[in-house]
Amino acid sequence: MKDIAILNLTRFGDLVQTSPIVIGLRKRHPAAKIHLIVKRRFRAVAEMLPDVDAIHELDGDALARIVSQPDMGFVERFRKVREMVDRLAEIHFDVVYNFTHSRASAVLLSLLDTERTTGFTLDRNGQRRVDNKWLRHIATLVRARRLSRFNLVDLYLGAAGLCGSRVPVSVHVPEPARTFAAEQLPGPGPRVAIQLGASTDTKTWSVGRFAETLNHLTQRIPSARIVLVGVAAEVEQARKLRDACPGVWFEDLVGKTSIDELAAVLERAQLLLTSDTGTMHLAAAVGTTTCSVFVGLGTPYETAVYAEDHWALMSRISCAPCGYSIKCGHTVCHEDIPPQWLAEFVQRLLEHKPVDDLSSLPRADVLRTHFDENGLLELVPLHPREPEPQDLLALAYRAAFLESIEGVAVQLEPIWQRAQIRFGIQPEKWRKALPSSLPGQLQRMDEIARHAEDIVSRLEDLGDQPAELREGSKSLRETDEAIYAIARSEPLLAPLGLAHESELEDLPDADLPTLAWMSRCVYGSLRRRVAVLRHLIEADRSLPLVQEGGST
Amino acid sequence: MLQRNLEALRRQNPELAEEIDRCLTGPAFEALTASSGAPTVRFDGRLEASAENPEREAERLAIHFLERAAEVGATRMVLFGLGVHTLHFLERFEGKLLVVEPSLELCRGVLERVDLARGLERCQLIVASDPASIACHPLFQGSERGLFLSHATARRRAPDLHDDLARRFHPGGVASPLSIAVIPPLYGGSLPVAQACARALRELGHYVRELDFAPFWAAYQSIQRSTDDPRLAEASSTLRAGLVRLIGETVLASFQLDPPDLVFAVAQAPLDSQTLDRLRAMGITRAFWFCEDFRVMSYWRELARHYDTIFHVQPDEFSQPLREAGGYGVPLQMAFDPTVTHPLELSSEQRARYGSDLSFLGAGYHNRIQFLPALFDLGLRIYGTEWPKDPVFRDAMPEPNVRQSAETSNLIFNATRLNLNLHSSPWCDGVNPVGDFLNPRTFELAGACAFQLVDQRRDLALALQPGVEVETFKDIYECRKKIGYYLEHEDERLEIAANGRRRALAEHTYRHRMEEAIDALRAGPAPLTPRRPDLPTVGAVLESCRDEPALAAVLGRLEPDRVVDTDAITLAVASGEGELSREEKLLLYMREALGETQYFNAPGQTS
Repeated sequence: MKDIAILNLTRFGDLVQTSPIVIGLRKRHPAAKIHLIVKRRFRAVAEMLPDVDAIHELDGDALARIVSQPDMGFVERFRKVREMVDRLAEIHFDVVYNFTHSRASAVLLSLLDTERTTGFTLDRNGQRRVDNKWLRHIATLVRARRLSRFNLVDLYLGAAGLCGSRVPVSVHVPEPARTFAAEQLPGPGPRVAIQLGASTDTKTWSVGRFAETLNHLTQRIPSARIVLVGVAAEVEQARKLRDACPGVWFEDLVGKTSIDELAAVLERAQLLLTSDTGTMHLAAAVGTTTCSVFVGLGTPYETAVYAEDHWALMSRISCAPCGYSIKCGHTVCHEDIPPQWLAEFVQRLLEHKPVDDLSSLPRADVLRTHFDENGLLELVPLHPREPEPQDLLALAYRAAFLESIEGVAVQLEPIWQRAQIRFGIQPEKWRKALPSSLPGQLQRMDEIARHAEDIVSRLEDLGDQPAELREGSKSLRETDEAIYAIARSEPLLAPLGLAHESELEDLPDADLPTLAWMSRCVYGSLRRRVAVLRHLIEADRSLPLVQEGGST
Repeated sequence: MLQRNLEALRRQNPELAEEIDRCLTGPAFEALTASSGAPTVRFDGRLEASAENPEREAERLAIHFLERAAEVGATRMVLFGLGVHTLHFLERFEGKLLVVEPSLELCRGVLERVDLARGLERCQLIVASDPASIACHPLFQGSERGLFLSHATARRRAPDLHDDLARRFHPGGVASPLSIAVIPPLYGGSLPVAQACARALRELGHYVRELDFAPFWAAYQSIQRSTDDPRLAEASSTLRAGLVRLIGETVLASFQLDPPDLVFAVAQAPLDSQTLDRLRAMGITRAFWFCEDFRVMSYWRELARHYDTIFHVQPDEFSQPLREAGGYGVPLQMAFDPTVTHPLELSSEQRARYGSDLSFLGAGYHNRIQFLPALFDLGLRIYGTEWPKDPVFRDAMPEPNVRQSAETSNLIFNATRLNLNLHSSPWCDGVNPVGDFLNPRTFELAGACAFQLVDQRRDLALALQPGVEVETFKDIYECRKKIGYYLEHEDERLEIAANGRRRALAEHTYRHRMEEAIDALRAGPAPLTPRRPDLPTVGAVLESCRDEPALAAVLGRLEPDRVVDTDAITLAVASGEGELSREEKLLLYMREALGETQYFNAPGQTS
């Protein structure tokens, strides 16, 4: 393996989250050259990532200008785009990992003349397909967010064959940037950095609540200095915050730092208080504790910082997090994080005092990041509380999908133990805590999937008999519809239907015997997940080991 | 005359004055004298100014140019084409004027015959055909608010140069296609006008969508039937207003995902002020072609200030009241659609059904009902709707009160030896003595190469030359006399008809009008520029990719006149077979790149 590339045309937080993958690949392929293909405006972030040998900029603005340039002929535009692509293709990467979830990136990947690709690409007919089980799981995750418990970095690590490597995010801070930070932030702390803005309004905790928190905090720790960070567009928010906190000692660097200087500034702070932002990932990457308020679209289960002992707060309101297609007009989840409580929590963290004796929040969870026994990031609640049905199912799904994707055998006992510690619930009580219809629905789903397996087995034996094949295909479509119908009728079962659908959609073009075998694996996977859920719910400890061919 | 003009020109541009002095006019240039006695010019077989009263025409055009300049606050004007008399009337322009004339020969000929000395002293004249050199002129590039205007005749002589210059002058450019929604009326005589406008705009390369209000027409008729009793007039009015509201909401909804650059509504279009204001809020330019008599139809008053531009057919009298009502007006006379109206070889059946010596096609307005019975003894046939049902008319109407389609109308025009055209009036008993605008029939009859006897109209000579391209009457006596004469003089009749068709094709198609309208909108108070990029056609791209055979093979799967947009790329790639080629993938990448980069480059984002 000579040249490995990661295609990541996303934003700066996502790039920082790429660092564990780069580090993992370097360990696995010490002699390989690792390339990072990034958007031009985030080159500075890419330069801070460790173990990157070459950075290739894809100038998105230039590309947009080229394709929409009215004064340039169509053929000329075509040639310019081709030149742009050819410059990358000439490198002949041995493998490219595409972590950009766009169709354009999939087309680009198909143009790179690469031996092996992982992630979003095009099939022979030009349709976008995902040729990796971990990345395919994102399609399930985004449509059943309240039941997903995989951090995005774990999905990328899994896609790169690095599942469970326990490598946290990290960046190199250049010395000139450190000098800048030392000049800007002279004297002792404690310093709390504040990032006010986020990528969308609904992900942004309000300036008023930040202000209230800081006013309480500086009453508790009068010597605390508050470092304001952010981009120039957030200057007005910073001014409002300063106006609302007249007695607070601010060091306002909003709009005054480059990316590497921001990293250095964060490095000098003891803690970052923020919403779900790229700055949050950068702070974790320089070893600064983060305390993040996840509101609106954000959920820490997907994007909490990929490192241990960081903190995330999130409302437990039933609509949180927002669906991706939602534009919320009533952001009540913001109100579930009490500023006064948060100020005390931050004070304890700054003073390295225990936090578990703090009162629990009535409508929000306080979650700590932690690598589990399999090396994947999980969130541990600070306080035990009564379980909601999705809390239990989410634990079950995490184990079931880890098994079907990565082959990590499901162990029932650790799941029950987690439920007992976090929610005080014994295995025998699971059934009572869940909708009574659930076991019946799972049984029905298993029967349908078993029937589908039988149909596929018959198709395998048929050989080239078009009429029977057509009939068999029709029967399979009907069984799939029946599976989807159950999954649609019970939101707690949605991940089963969604995963099944995306696995079927991504079956490759293949000859009939291969396709039949792979289809049987898809139905087998579904049955296995159903079995895991049924055994957990029924407190049945006799879950058999996964059968060969039982997962895709 | 020439030396006086050249003397004035020398003060501005001595080299050009010398050049014109040395130049000679050739056979393409014909000096003529108009009916008014003023000099006029034919160049390359086309009139450069009116053969009737070119000075009046020039004055009107100049007034229009000056009003446009005042409206947009322009202190700089670039005028494409010297014209014949126009410059004389542009002396009043207080800003800077650059006149661009492509033909040196025409320039020489005009300066020999028309005294433009005072105008030449006030303007900068350049004679050139290279757009790059013209665009370098300081007045072309000036920083003051400018206006690019053109003589229609010059534009027709040098269309490429005109378009190139206009594109350089206006952001977005004249050649940039616009996305235009044409809003027709529910029903009536303006419906085919709207359809013709849509066709013409498409021919000009714009992306046109025509809204179909047929389902609403059924509702409208139902309201009419349900509230037929005069005592229900108020209820009828409320219901009709409600229907127009509903249509407006439907229009707005249909624009939400893909708003057009321009809404082009035609007379009686069912858009109320609320809809128009919301279109404005969506950033859509709103134009209205009010091709009706403003003295008869009064609804324009309520709508005037809710449109960005109102095109109308009454340049003199209507401008002032329109301004007072808060509207911005641009004169735009009627036209004909050559795809529908044209000479025909009639079958014997068609001739038997529609053939006649004398016919009239139109609605039964008051003055027509009064006037036409006096021609029944000459065998007049009447076609159209809203005529009295009494036996007098019934006998003259082969198809009583049937609305004739545009195609059937063309059959009637072609099958009739002498077509009568009498402009409508609700208050005169016959010919309107002060009639100004020209109805669509005037242009349709000329376009069909049909001999036309039309009532005298003040503006007729600006469009068609009486006695040469059309024949006129001022009262019933002259009408009867000329009917008799022309029925007996077939050669003269055919020659006038042929002249009329030539003129109509050269100047009076809907394509001409839509060109004028779009030019006016682009230079108007709220300049119109396309939201969509300027997209080439498949044919044009194929021309330029002869050394890219693989790309040509993919695009060659599409119709040559199709615009190369994202949909076309998708179709071209989807039409292929087997594995995607590199060119197909590159085309897909181009298609995807724009959307993605816009998404990820959204400014002010921190994560």
